[in-house]
Amino acid sequence: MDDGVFISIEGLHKAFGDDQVLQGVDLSVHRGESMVVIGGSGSGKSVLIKHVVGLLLPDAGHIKVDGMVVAGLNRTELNELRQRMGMLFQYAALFDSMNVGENVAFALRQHTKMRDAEIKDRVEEVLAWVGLEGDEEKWPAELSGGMKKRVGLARAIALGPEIMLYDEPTTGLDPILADQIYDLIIDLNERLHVTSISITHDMVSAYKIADRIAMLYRGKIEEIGSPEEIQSSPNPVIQQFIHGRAEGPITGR
Amino acid sequence: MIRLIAGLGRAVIDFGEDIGQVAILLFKAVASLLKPPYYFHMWFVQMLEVGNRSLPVVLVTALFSGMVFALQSWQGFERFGATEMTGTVVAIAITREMVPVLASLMVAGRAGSAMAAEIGTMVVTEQVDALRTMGTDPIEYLAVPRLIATSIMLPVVVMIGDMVGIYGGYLVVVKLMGGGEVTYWQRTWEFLMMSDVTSGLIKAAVFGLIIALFGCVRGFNTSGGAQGVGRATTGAVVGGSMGILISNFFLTKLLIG
Repeated sequence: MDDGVFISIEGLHKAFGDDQVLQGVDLSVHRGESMVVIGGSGSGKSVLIKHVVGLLLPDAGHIKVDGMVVAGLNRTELNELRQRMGMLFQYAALFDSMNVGENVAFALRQHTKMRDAEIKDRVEEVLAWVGLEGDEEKWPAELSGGMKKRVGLARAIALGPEIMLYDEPTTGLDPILADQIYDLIIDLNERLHVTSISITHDMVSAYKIADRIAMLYRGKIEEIGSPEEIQSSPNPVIQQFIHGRAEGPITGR
Repeated sequence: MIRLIAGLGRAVIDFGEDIGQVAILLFKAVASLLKPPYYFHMWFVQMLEVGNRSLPVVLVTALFSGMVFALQSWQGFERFGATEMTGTVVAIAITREMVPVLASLMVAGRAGSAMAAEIGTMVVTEQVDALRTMGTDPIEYLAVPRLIATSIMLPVVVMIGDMVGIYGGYLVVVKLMGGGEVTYWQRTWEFLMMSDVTSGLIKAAVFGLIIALFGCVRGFNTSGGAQGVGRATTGAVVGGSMGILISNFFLTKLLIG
């Protein structure tokens, strides 16, 4: 792992109306690191990740990616930065007006000067990587949840991103499908040295794919550490969450 | 009673809000047209969509508007023995007012609602976010093609509608009421001016723009799942129709001079 900080989030605040979702989040992700952010439903994990890719703008604080302040970029610079990132959405967010092949080819057509034959090869390559070779002609509506996620993953990596953002990569999948997705994520990190932030409330996936785990609680990072450190943390909030107990400080019981 | 007034007030406020957002979208769209990328294939796809969706309803609207208007005018002119003027009145009314406005209202219901539904669904399923994360501007990719398509295609379908409407008048006057065929066409062409047709087509282009603006604004502002998409669709039709009816007055004033 390279020591350089690649993504740094400093003092991030975000509110929607009266709802203070993020209240000073500090988080640094190193180059090549797999960071997993855990937290309960509605704790603001998705909000956090959407700031990294500039889909939301902070009320206060800032996010730096590779030294650039995301909110300070103009449209062209932001689009250039976004081409270095891939994002897997919770429900895959495939374009339902396009078939699988066109979905995966989308960014390649938009942002590269690749010829049709090269694009076709690249689409075949990434689809094979997610185990969907030959499914180019299928439509998103025909796919199962797991297949959609894999197409979403193929689409996100088509441009060869340096940063991957995973929004609940395994939610709604059965354990075996979920495991396949973890393997793909781990493979991506190891082979391509991708820097990644995943958000999840699924502890199995967190332990499996994380170099470090950060827990988001009440709008701040409650604790951060390796999977082992998190598991052995004396913090009752962490212990309640990772063991999924109904009683404890989070629920106030 | 109070609820009724509150509802009315709410509708007025919503429409006012929409107008603001429509202006912002229009500004952004024009700004994005000044520099690449241009998604010409999307323009073309949307033009086909709009044409396909509007042509059938516009033809039916135009044909029956022409027929009804001819019937009414004939009855009116009969009172002072001027039925031979029916052709003239039908042609002027059809081209200046009836087809541009009625056809645009129909297209607001067909194409404007479809735009709000499509974009709204893309918003709630995060497809619009996905576009943005892939470095593609949703305004350029989704809104601009729709704005261009309706502004170009509406005058085209209105022009066809004009012809069909005048033909509808002919059917009523000549085939139903027994008016003279030669007189009908003579009176139509004698007094119909080019400016009658072009003013209607200019209106159609502006109405087309208004339909797409409301469709896109309501689509992009969709929140809250399937119900939200439903609200966006209704909002696009109501907003677009109000926009057409209100702007029609000012356009008419402007075009008459």
